[in-house]
Amino acid sequence: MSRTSDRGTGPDDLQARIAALPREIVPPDLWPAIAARLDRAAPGADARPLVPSRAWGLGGGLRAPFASPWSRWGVRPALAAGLVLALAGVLWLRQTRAPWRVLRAEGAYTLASGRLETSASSRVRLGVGRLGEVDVAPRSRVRLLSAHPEHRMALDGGRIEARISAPPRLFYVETPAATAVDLGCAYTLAVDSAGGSLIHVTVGWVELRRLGRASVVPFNMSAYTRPGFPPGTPFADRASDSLKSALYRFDFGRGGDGAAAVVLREATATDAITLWHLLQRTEGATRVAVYRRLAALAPPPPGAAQARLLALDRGALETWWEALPGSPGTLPWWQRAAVRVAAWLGLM
Amino acid sequence: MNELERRARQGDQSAFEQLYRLHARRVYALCLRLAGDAVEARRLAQDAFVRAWERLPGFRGDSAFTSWLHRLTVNVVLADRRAAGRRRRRVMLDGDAADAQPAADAWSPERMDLERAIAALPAGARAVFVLFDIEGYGHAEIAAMTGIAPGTSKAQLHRARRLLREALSR
Repeated sequence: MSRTSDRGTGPDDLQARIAALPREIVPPDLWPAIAARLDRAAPGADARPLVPSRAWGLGGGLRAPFASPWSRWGVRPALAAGLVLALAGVLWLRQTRAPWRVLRAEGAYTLASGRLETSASSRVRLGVGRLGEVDVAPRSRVRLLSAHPEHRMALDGGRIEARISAPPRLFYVETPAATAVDLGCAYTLAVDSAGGSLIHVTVGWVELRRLGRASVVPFNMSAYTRPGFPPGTPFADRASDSLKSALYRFDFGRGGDGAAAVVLREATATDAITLWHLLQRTEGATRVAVYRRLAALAPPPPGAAQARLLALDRGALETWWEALPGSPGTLPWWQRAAVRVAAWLGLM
Repeated sequence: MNELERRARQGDQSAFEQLYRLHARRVYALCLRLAGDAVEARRLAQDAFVRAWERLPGFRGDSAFTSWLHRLTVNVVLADRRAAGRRRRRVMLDGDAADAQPAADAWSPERMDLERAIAALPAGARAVFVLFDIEGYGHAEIAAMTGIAPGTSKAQLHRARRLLREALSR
């Protein structure tokens, strides 16, 4: 910055008053709103978390099975169907703009300026536009941040149970340690007094994001988060206690390679998705060991060569992901559709 | 480039939050004075930090992070102003001043009078005045940032000072 002779030419005390102006002014805390936007704005492509890039989950997972018939049916029906889908999309977008609503409440609760707090004996059911519902458990603190372009809330403490039936990435929950991104699912999310959380997914998939890393948590799996750490590695409900304990030490303690070794020793085919995440969170010999264990439990398909997997090549990792037990790629489309309908009806 | 900036550049959001905590007051002050409106300033400060997050991979440390962020903030505000002739401009209201607290004990009736007078300046004159008299940019830099001629910048500065003196003498 340069200075010129124009500076300080005022004959009165204006320049003195200008010079006395503070260079800093304390703003209200803008960080929560900024942090919410950062999760949508990656700092350059290199820093994007290495997660499956396709729209997986029950919402997105339905695309592939429906995509192939169009090519067989010809162009005109496909165009007609495209128009219908576009119209449905417009209607759907209008639906997603619907605001938050209190659908049901038991006991006394407070709701002011978008802040909802339940007492020890109260609970509230919120309508997430027309995307689904969120049950707010007793002793919980929630902030409703936005309803457009996506529904976004913050869980500062307590527990919620979300049931969302919508295309992926229309419902976000901020916690002190991570952002939970809905991929078409139902889940419970609890935040403790230290800001850590535990998510348990019952239908579909949830992506946890923070600090440049993402964990994809499928149904029948859970994951921890802790402030200051990237999201924890997902683990299956049926995983052994030893594996869960070692994984926690690996993610948030100083477990290091020793903890990873315990995870590998305890892992079964049920834990393939855990190992798939672990592969990306280890280095050197430990990564090779993770690769070997995962390859023994779920051999990589032909398109995923060992060298590419060890180099964490995105395409190879995605190919392997789709072949893993429990991955949506391994479920027939009608099964995914059935689960989706059941979730819609509240049967799951 | 210090460690915090390096970590933020690599996508560490907690490091970026610390950078926000360090620089928010300066960025907000700049936005507040350039926009002349506290509500707009909050939005613009958010935009500036989000833009900084997006652009961090391109920050090589050739200049100080403070200078880089400062320049980026000015660009965000000026671009917003250019794009928003259609947006309603508001003069700082009493209620807005409540969240515009100076960092130190610099509050005084005289200061608030001056802040209000600055906020009431025409947008072009206000931008030049804030950038030149408060932020220390030269006319050539201001001309480059705002897309006006250096002579126009000088004229706007003169006009702004005259309007301020008139406002403060009432």
